[in-house]
Amino acid sequence: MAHFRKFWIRFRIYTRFSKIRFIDRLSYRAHFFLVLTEYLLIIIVNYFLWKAILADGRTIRGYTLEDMVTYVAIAGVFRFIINELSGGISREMSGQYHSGELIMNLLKPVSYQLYIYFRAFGGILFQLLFRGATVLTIWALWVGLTPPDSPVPFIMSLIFGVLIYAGIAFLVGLTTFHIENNAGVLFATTASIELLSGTLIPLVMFPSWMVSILDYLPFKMIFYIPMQIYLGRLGVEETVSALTVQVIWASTLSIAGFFLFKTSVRKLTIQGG
Amino acid sequence: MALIEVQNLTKSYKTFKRKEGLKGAFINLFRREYEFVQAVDNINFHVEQGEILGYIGPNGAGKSTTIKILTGILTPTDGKVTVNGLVPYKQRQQHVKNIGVVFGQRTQLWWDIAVIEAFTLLRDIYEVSKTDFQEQLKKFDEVLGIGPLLHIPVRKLSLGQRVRCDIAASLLHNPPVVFLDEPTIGLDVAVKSNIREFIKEMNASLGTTMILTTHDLSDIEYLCQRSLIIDQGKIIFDGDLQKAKDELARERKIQVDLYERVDIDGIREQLKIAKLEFTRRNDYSLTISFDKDEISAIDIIQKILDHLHPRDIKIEEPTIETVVKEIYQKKSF
Ligand SMILES: Nc1ncnc2c1ncn2[C@@H]1O[C@H](COP(=O)(O)OP(=O)(O)OP(=O)(O)O)[C@@H](O)[C@H]1O
Ligand SMILES: [Mg+2]
Repeated sequence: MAHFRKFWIRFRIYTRFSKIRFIDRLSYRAHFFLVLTEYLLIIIVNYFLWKAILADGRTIRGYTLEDMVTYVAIAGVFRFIINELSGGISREMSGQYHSGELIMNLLKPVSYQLYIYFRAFGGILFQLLFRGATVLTIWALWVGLTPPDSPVPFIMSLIFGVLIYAGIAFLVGLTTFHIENNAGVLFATTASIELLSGTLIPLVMFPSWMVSILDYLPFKMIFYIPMQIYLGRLGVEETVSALTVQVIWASTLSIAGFFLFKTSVRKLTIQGG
Repeated sequence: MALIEVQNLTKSYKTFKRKEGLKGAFINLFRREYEFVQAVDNINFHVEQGEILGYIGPNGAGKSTTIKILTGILTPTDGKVTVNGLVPYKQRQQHVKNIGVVFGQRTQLWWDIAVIEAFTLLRDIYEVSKTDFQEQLKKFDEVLGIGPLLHIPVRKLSLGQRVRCDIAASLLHNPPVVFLDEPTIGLDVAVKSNIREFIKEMNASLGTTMILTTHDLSDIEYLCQRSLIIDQGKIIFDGDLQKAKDELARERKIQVDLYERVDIDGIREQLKIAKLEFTRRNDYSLTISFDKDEISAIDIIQKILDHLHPRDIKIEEPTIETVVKEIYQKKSF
């Protein structure tokens, strides 16, 4: 009980970091609509593309037009999350390292990794509550949207997917401590994550050799697997095993981040002052 | 065991030596040359609980590097450091719970929130009770005048305002060990003297151990019984600067203003004291320098009053600055 209380107190502190980021995101209104429009346009373009491809009841690898209508909308919203994580974790870490803000965080009895994660979660919450909800509402009213087949497993899987990408983004952020000019690294990872996690097209539509490689990597666990659960393409057993694999990936990546951060800090030299 | 122990501490920075120009940039791609900067070179010292240690030295001497190691954000190349029984860079998270740090040159507060929000966040992080927190806020408002600043976002504060909030933030949890690296940078005179008073008071009432780095030697004079002087990574003085001043700076100066024109030879003749050194300041004023251990100032002044017709007399004490300057120049004592 005492342990739980302590855990709860610490948890509350970290959620305050989430809140700070949430409020911060809320204060850029012009930006809000700009990004919203951009993402909505991408979804619309994708939609018309699939409408052309899957006309007259055609299917590709089991995907009907109705499936794809939902797929592109959820994927479009998920790209908000990916961008939030790339910006809020990798780019944020890089910025903090170069501005010296990292040091100030190291001087606090707070886990830097959790601090970074929770800030990003605050950003994600904002993306979902405002942009995500707006996009999905527009989509549901205008084109139509199939609700998730089994909402609870889907939400769990989505959360694990976010944690997996958070773990990857943290590792990418760490590399920026060692590479001076990292705009390229950050851009390349975001682009490949979007492709390999299945937010552009369902992964089964890739060549089969690529699909089998992707089976061994964590990327499809980020979005493709949650989406499979959403569409009801996994049976109960498959769902359970998918969730297990997700948990394993999420914890492995975060634990790796934990140790690599430790060694990175040890090698850190701090500029100025 | 002393509260802070530093043994054979060495830190060298490895820096990438850039070649200039286009050709240089091309060579850099293939062959990297590194340079090592020995910022701290095998230093030893310890600080007892309740001590305020002054840590001074010229620019680039290695002061901030030492403080960064002691606070756990930098790992030494060699040597051993313990603070309160913990090794800062190995047990960082545990260590930082018990310390307060001010780097005057950079903020410890989160940029994107208001000061009060940062404070309440720190309150929760350090597990300070709400009543203690209110009391601390009141105290800090009296000393640092931070009351009106509380609702301003940190990034909008002026340098001095920010430093004041930083000091408050770092002492909010009454840490037993405090590191102050140029804490009075950019502060106005009134606030500065308030802070000194406050630091002294905190040290007296709570027995807080502190290391203070500053270029303002009057801070040191007021607060520190013991000081270290570091230069080029080596400690060249460890002791009481006040005592050092008495021992090292024996030269005194008397400035005499006259009604008639200064005639040095004539004056020397009239005073008849050996080992005085006369310097003409202008037509109606001169300076007499002497060693305070050989001649008493009273004797000289007596003679001046007897033989000359002074308009004004001033005795100049050596300042702590001159002493420190002397130590920097001679490099070792
Ligand atoms: N990150 C770094 N990389 C390379 N060299 C560094 C780095 N930080 C400091 N140095 C060098 O180490 C030496 C000591 O620097 P330090 O910051 O400890 O000096 P300081 O005594 O605090 O000086 P100041 O009074 O100017 O603040 C200097 O020669 C400096 O150039
Ligand atoms: Mg310094």
